[in-house]
Amino acid sequence: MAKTAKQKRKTVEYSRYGYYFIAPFFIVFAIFQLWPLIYTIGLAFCENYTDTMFNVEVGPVFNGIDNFKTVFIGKDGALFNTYTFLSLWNTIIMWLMNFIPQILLALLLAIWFTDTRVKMKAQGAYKIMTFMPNIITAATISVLFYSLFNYPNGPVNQLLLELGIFDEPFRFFQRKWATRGIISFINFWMWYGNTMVVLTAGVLGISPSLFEAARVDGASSFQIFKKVTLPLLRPILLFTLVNSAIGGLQMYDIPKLLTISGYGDPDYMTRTITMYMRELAFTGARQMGKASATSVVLFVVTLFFSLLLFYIMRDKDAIKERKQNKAVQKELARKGAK
Amino acid sequence: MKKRVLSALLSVTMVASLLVGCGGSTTTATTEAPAEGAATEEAPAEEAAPAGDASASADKFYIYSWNTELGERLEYVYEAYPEIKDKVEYVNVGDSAIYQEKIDQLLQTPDAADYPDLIAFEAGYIMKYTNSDYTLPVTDCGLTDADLAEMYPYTITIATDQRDNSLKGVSWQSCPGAFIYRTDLAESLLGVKSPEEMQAKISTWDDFLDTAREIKEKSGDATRILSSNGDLVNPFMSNKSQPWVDKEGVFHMDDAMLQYMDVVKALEQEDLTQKTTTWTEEWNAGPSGDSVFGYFGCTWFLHWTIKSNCGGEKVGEGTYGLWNMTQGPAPYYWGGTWLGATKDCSDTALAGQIMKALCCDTEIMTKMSEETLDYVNNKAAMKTLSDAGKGAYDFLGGQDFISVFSPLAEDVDVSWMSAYDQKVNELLDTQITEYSLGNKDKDTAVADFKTAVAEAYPAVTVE
Repeated sequence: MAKTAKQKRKTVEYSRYGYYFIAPFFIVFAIFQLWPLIYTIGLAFCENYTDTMFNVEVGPVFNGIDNFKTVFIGKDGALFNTYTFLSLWNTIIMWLMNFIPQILLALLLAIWFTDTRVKMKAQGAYKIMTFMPNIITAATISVLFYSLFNYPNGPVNQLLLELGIFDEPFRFFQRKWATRGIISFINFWMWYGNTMVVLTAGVLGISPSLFEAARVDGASSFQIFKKVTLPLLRPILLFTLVNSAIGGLQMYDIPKLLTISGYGDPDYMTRTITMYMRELAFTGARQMGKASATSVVLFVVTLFFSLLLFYIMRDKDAIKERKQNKAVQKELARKGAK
Repeated sequence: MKKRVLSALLSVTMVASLLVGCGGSTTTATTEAPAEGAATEEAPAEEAAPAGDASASADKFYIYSWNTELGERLEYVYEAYPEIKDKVEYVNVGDSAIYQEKIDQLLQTPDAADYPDLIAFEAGYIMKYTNSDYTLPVTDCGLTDADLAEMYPYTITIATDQRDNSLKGVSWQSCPGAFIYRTDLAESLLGVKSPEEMQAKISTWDDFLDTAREIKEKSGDATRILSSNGDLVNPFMSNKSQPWVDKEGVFHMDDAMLQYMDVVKALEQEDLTQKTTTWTEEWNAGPSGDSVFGYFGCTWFLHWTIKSNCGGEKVGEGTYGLWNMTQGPAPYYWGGTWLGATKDCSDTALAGQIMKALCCDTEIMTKMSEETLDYVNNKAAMKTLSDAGKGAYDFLGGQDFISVFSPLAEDVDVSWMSAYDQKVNELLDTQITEYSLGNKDKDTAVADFKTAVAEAYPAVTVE
């Protein structure tokens, strides 16, 4: 007994220092992220706004699920017919419109850049060019696109008139699908370079011998892509998808800056859910309670999308193999028992 | 044992290296401060303020606004009272869009070093603050009724707390509005030779639309009466017979607003404006060419928007000198900045001194108006200038802008204002755009507008 105590004293406990070094992160996380998170969820069940008439703050007072009622049920009594779900819907539409083309193009470029047979020239220059929009700030890009699509004298309008496609200038920012399309395009253009770099790294992580073996066996490019690249790229693809889903649901800067009023023109059709949350919490009657309820909805939706993606992208073969192993082991155990 | 010593040593060096980074600044700060304190016993507070010392900067007198204008006007106060200059800290938030959010947050923290002592308000939301306990009555700052004698009545009405009729803010400017139009185009297109004749052509909104059609037709589509549909908003808002939200918290859709929707739709559908957007590049380019006939503008608008965009700096250049003013279909005012002391203002005497100097002192205000062309909120000052012939403005082809604005300033009616105006007007604008483009019928647009108002203000009753 005495011997073991002595031994213990001799060993140096290094893990302790590890905790000291990671402590700052957890302290900051607890103060600036965990506590606000809990507080927001608490506020979601409280009545808390400012009565503009005499600028008096009401609450926070617990009011059960009243906030969620106004978030889910519209004035006419219809479920989901509220600004919250309109803005959520806008967000999802604009995310899908930019994400689907983005991942397809990024994947295609990543495959081309890494293909040892294609051997594209000036890859570096092209990678820089595709990555560049990501470096410029969203505000700059918004201003750029706003002037490009300006009415009536923007370059795009002038071009369309010159080419005879339109007889008169088109008001891009007063048509819902045009504005949504422009916002989606900007996001697509800003982020496909980034996605491409991530995917390229992923493809480069696959052992070249697998590609060579497939090629020796006479597989076509598409077969290699489908049977070798895609399955091995799954973890990276999952990362990209989840990352983009979370980022996409929090879309804020471009739609906020691109429209003139900043409230999602035209007619709130480009107002994303984060824009709406900010509007609720900081303008008008500063409805903190309802904004919190909205953000809880966003949290749940984000969680749902992430879990869904994890489920869709799960490694079916690995699961099958594990099941088989278990079955074999059971069989063996049964035989052994006999 | 060796390992333990080594690890201890390593962690010590690491912590030490962390401290060295901060050490540089702290040592200099601590050595500097006493030295200065010894040199000038009086003012250690100002010297230490940049170092971020909270207790020291709390001694400063903070004035908040959203642009440089108030800061420039304060120079006139410093000129009269040089001793206060060092104490006053002017904070330019820099963006009117986030100004209210910033102020709202600051007002919640009376103990903060940068808690505002005086804040500027714009007409669109002043009532939100004056009708609250966040602001002090000006009488608490030492202002008397005599100080307010020369002010235009509407500037006082706006800043009066509707609960107990105490005045909570004062303004140094008065912003009556007029219709500012091109004299040469008026003569060639409409045969109009004087402001009186012009007034007859646009005295009602129906006349205004008829004139708009006439201008479009006679100019062969080269000229429109207005640049954007948004130009109408200020005259129309002043046309309301009641506020958006009355004292009982009930929302009212005024008939004037329904008329506003129709006028905008007529302008849009019949292609009677340039269809630009207010404050954009195209819109700013309007005054320098012949494409726009006129603008609804007020005192500051005349000098800083039309004049600075007219493409010239003296008669003969651009459209300089080719403008004239007349009242238009409805009297209105546009904008203006008020100044109010906050609940926990650190120095009410100083607040009163600044308010008096900037908004009540006829001498300072006369000088300010003469030099900056601001139309000041002081009848005596404006009369002095008008009598001295300072109102004749070469930009307006010699028309006396003071004598045009003076009666308009007296007539401004602000009974339609409420604390909700800015936000509700924004909500209305969205629906008017949809209606004027023909995307929605009138009933849908009005219903959607009411939904948006109810959504933004849970305490308001919207029937």
